[in-house]
Amino acid sequence: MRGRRSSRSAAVVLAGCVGLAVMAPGLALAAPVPSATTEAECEAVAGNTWIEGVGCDDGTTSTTTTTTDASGSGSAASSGSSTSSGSTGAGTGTTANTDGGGAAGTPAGTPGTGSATGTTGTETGTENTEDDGTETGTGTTADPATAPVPPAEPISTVALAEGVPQLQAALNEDLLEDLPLADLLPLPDLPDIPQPDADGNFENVNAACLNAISQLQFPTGTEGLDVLSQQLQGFCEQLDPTTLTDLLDSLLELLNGLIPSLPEAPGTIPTEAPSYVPANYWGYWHKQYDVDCPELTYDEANAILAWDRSDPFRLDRDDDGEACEGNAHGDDVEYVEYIGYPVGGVATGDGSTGSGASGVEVALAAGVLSGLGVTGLALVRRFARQG
Amino acid sequence: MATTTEQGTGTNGTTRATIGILVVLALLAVVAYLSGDPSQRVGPAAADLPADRTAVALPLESAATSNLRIPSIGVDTRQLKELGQTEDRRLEVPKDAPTVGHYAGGAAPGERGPAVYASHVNYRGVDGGFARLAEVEAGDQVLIEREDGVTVVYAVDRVDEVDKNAFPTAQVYGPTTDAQLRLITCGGEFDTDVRSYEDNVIVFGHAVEAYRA
Repeated sequence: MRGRRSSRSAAVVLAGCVGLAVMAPGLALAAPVPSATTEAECEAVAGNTWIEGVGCDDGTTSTTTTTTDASGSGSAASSGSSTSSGSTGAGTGTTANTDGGGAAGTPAGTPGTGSATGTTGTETGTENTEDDGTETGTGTTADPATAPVPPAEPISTVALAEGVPQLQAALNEDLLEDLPLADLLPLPDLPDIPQPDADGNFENVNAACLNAISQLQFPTGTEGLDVLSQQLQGFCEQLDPTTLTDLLDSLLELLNGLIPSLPEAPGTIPTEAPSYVPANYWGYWHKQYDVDCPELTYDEANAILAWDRSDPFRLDRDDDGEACEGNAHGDDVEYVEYIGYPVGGVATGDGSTGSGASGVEVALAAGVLSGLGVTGLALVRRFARQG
Repeated sequence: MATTTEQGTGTNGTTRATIGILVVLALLAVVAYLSGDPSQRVGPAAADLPADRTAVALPLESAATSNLRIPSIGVDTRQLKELGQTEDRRLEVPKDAPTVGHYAGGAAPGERGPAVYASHVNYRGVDGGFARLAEVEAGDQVLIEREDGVTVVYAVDRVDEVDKNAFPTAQVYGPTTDAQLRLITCGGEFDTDVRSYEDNVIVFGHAVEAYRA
């Protein structure tokens, strides 16, 4: 039960994260990156680290990736040293840099020019190869067909402050209603939680997602929280809001992977009970789904009764072991419905008459005997007088 | 004188002997009649059905029984009662000798399934409603009139006498796809120790037609 709650918790939280992501599509590209050009400016922002010879590193994978992209055709040393995860973005930047030749270094060198600029830099590098470098360094001639997602508003702590309580409320109401809400704990094994910048904005949706799930709380003793934590972290890290369709598809895959045992999406109550009641049926639908005889076939009702003899839906109101008798089988027309056969022989006789003669016959016999007796007596008397 | 006396004495002796013989013969005849086992079939195997009857399709819906006739053994009774089951799941029996009971949990006459009737062979010194049931033969006719005015005509398929300890429950009470008939009473030897007959006589039949007169 608890394990299933965890799965559903994941579903709810993920659904909430979808909401966050939908509210700000493309924020990853528009998220600000540290613009500090000096060690003092860099470290003035919490979480940032000044790396000598490299620049300001905010310590997050996504940020590093964006920064690398932003550096575009910047020095290979910069890309390689600051990209700890080896992300696609970094690789693209490096490729562009190589293709673009040495001239590509011109606009780079100073990190923090924004992700849009970085992407443009990649395009520029490619064009440099095709055009023999004549337009190197312009950084503004992006192909409209492959134009990046336009910048969007960053995810702010304000948006998160509204979204997280909604997630928590959904958890409490839908999943934790019968559990004590004391001794609440956050998800275990979370990494360093990204914090908003001085303006209250998160660098990207991934950081916002991690921050959001770190604020969720679960009652002590909730099983499966470690697994749930890993799943949600994975979800946040893989968020790619640049394409809404991709985001939804990936979410769908994730949901399917996280909660494969759920018959349908959370919150969707089936209109009919299954004819076969699986073992996990009551664990999930208990208290959420009531059925009555008019909604069921005879087989369905008796399958439910056979599964749970306590008859939670009162389908067998006369307690005779048969549910919804009124929902007669289609083949019942072939037979009469039986209460149940009598058994054994029938006691239809007490042996009190063994003659085989009826009362009338006995009376006739008695009459004959009486007549004979009377006749004989009369004859005896007459002969006696004569004698 | 002496001759007259002897003649009178001889005449009286002859007369008395004759009367005695007659009485003995009468008694023997009565005893032989009462203890004998003459055929108890008192009527035709089948009765004439009304020529102007209107056929009714089988099977029928449920309706109570109003009259039961077995022409071959002279049963014609309206003394009927619905029967249930006892606590030990035995078929109830009528509380008097002549009443014929119908098992309410089974089929009604003409309805799909076996319509089961039971009556005593004897009870409290009186012959029961099915006293002569053992005399019924295959092919005999049984007519059951329903309270809705429909008469169902059954043909007897067979008559079995079975040990009560091997009673064919399913054959008697089990579902059938057509309208059938079961008539039950006691038979066989009477076990005085348990005051019960050892066997049951069961008539099996099936409906051949139904009509309104």
